[in-house]
Amino acid sequence: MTYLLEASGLSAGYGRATILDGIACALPAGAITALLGRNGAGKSTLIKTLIGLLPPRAGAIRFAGHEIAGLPPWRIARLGIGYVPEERRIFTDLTVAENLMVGARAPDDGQPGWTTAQIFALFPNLAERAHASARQISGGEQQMLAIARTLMGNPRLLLLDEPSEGLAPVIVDEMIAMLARLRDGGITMLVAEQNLAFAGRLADHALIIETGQVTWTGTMAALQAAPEIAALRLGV
Amino acid sequence: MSFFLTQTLTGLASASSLFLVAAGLTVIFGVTRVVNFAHGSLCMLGAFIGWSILTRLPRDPAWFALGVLATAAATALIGAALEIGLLRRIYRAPELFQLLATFGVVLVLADATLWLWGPNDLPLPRPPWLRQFVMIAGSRFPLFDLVLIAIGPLVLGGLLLVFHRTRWGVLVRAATQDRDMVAALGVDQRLLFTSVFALGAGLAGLGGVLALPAGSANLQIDLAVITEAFVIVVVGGLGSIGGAYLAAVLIGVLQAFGVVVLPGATLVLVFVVMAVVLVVRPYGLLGRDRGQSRTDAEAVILQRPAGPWQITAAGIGLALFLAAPLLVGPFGMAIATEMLVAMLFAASLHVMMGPGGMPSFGHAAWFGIGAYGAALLAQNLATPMPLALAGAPILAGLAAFAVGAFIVRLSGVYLAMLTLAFAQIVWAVAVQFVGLTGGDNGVLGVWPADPRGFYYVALALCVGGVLVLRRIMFSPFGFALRAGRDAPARAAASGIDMTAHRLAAFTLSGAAAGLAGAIFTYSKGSAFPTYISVSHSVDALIMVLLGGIGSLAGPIIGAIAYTGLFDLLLASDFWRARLGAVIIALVLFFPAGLAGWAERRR
Repeated sequence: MTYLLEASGLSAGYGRATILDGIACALPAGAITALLGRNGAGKSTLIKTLIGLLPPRAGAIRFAGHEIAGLPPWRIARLGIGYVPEERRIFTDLTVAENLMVGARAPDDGQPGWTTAQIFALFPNLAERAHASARQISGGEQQMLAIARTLMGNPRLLLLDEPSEGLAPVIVDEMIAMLARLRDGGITMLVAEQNLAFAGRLADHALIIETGQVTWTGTMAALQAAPEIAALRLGV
Repeated sequence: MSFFLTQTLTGLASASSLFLVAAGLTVIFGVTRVVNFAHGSLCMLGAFIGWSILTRLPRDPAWFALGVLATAAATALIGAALEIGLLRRIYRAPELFQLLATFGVVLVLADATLWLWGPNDLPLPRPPWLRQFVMIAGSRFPLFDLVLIAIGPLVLGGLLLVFHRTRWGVLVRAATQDRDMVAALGVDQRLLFTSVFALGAGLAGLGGVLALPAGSANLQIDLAVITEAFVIVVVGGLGSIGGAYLAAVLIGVLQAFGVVVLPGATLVLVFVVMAVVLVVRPYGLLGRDRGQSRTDAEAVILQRPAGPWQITAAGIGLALFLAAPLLVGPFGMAIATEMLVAMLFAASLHVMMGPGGMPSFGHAAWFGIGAYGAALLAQNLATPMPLALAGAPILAGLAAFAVGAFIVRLSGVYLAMLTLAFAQIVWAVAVQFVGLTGGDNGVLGVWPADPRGFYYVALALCVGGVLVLRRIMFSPFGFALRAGRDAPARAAASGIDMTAHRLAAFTLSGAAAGLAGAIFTYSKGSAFPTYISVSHSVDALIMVLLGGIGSLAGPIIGAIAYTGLFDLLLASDFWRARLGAVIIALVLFFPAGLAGWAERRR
C-alpha cells in the first residue's frame, strides 16, 4: 500500500496541556480513512496539527515527498492539503460565490483544476444560492460550501472534521455519496468522526486514537467485523 | 438656513479627512487585529512629505493632484516597511504589547520628523486656485472644501468596490472575519497583511496631505489625529469602513456646529456622542462583536503573593526610603518622591490591568483629575492640604465610576482605545479651559506648609495606598475579579456580577491614581497638562509591563527602575526616539516583561 501522508512521533497541545503524545499514523493514497475516538481523544487536534494551524512540538509529517511539520498553514495548503473544519468556519460576511473565490487556487502542476461551474454541478444547491450571503444558507448548505470552498484549492488530501455533525439524515446520505465520488476521482481523505455508523458507510480504513495515541489501525471492514474493539476503544 | 448649510458643509469637509485616516486604521485592525497607534504618525508624515513635495511642484491643480498621490504612495511604502520590519514579528503577542510597540513607533517617528523638518509649523503656500470661494446660499464657501467633501464618498466608494469586486478585496474581507481559515485555504498571509498595511498607511498619508491647505504640517498632528481616529473607529465599529464614514460625518458635522454653539466644549461633545453610541450599540454603529481570539496567551497571568525574598527586599527598600532625607540632597529627595508617586500610580494601573484584566491606555486621566482636583481645591477654595489630599481621590474615583459605567463591559482593544480617548479629552479640558486650569501655564503655588514633613506624608500615603490595594486584591473581591477575567462565563454562572466587579476595580484604580496625582501636585507645587499626556499614561504602562504583570512587585520594581531610567534618557536630545527604541526592543525581546523573563530563565 502507498501512503500519501505519514506522521511519526507527533506531539502537540495547547499551553501546558499535551493532547497528542507521540502519535504515528499513515493515510493510504486514494482511500478514505476514518479517524475515530472518544470526545477529547485528540481528533480535532490531530487534524489541526496536520494542516499547520497548531504547530507540532515534536515529530515529523511527510506528505507527498515533502516534510511539512512546522510549515505555516498556507504552505501546507498549497502543497495539496485541504481542511474542512468542524465549525465549518464559512465566511458569513461573504456571498457563497465569494467563499469559493477565497479557496480558489490553480494546481501547482499546471493541470486544469476545479472550476466554479464543476463545483456548482457537484453542489446544485450552492449554484442556486451563489449570490446569497453565506450567513443565510442552511446548515447543510454551509457544510457543503465548506467542502466546496476547500475543493477549489485542488487538494490531493482532504481533512474533514466531523462533517456529519448536526446534519439531517437525508443530507448525510447526499454527503456520503458525494465524498465517495471525490474519492473515486482520486482524492485521499481523513474524516474525523464520532458517529461509527456514518464512518462505516463511508470509510475504507480506520484509525482509533485514545488519549493522544493511535491504539488501533486497520480496515473499516475489520473494525466492523470485531464489535468488541469499538466497544472497548470507543465505548459504543 | 445659510448658517445651517455652511456649517453642515464645513462639517462634511472635515469628515472627509477624518474618514480617510480612520478608514486606514479600521482596515488594518480588521485584518491584522493590531490597533496601530502609529497611524496618526503616518498621517503626520503624509502632511510633512506632502509639504516637501507640493512646495517643489508647479502650483496648478493637476500637479497638486499628482503630488497628493505621490505622498500617499510614499506613506504606503513607509507603512509596508513598518509592517515588514516590526509588526510582522508581533502578531502573536498580547494586544497590549502590540499597542505599546506601535506607540514606540510614534515616539521614534515624532523625533525623526523633528530631525528632518525642524520644530516649526510648515503651512502650505496657497496658490490662487486654492483660495477660491464659491457662493452657496449667499455665503462664501472655500472651493477646496467642496473638493474634500467629494473625496470622502469617492474614496469610500472606491474602497467598497475594491473590497467587493476584486479577489484581493474578497480575501481581505475573509481575513477580517477568520484569518486562520484563510491561511488554511492556502493564502499567503504575509503578502495580504503587508498590502493591507500599505493601503491603510497610504490612506493616512492621503488624509494628512489633504488637510494641508486648511492647516499646516506640524508635530502635534500625530496624537491629535490618532485620538479622533480612535473615536471614529470605535463609534463606527472596528473593522467597518461604512461605519467609519458614518461616524466621521456624525462627528465632523457635530464639531462644526459645536464650534459655533458651544465653543471650547467640542471634545466633551464628541465624548458624549461616543458614550451614547456605545450605550446603545456597544460595538459601534456598524460593528459586530469580533470576539477575543487571543485569550490563551493572557489566561496564564497568575497572581502570586510575595515570598520571603520579596518581603525582605521590600523591607530594605522601605528602610532606604525612610532614611532618604538623611542620605540624599534636595535633588535626590525629589527623585525619591517621584519614585513613591510612580509606585502608587503603577500599582493602581496594575489593579486595573492585572487582576481586573482591563487594559488602559489613558491612566493619566485619573492621575490628572487627582492632581488638578487637589490644586484647584487648594487654590480656589483655600482647602487645607489634608482635605485636598482626601478630596482628590474621591473626585478621580467618581470620574472613573462615571466613565467606567459606560466602558467596563467592553473588551480589551475597545477599552484601551476608549481610555485613551477619555484621557485626551481630560487633557484638552486642562489645556482649553484657561480660566479654570490656567491652560498650558498650569496651576501654580500649591505647596505643602512643611516640605520636609511632606515627604513623610507622601511616603505614608503611597506605601499605605499600595498596601491597601494589595489587601483588596487578595480579598474575596480580588479573587472574584480574577475569576471573571480568566473565565467570564463560568464566573457569571457562579453568581458573580462581573460588570459590578469590574466597575468597582476601575473606580478603585482611578481613585488610587488620583491620590498619586494629588501627592505629585503638592510635591511639585503645581499641576500641568503634561500630567495627563499620552506619554504619561504610557509611562505607567511601561512600568507595569517592565516589571511584569503577574504580581504587585512588578509595577513597584518597574516604577523605581523606570523613574531612574527616565531621568537618564531625559538628559539628552531626542529622548523620545531613545525611549521609543527601548519600548520596541522591550516588546520584541521580552514579551513577558522583565519579571517574566527572569522567571523563565530560572
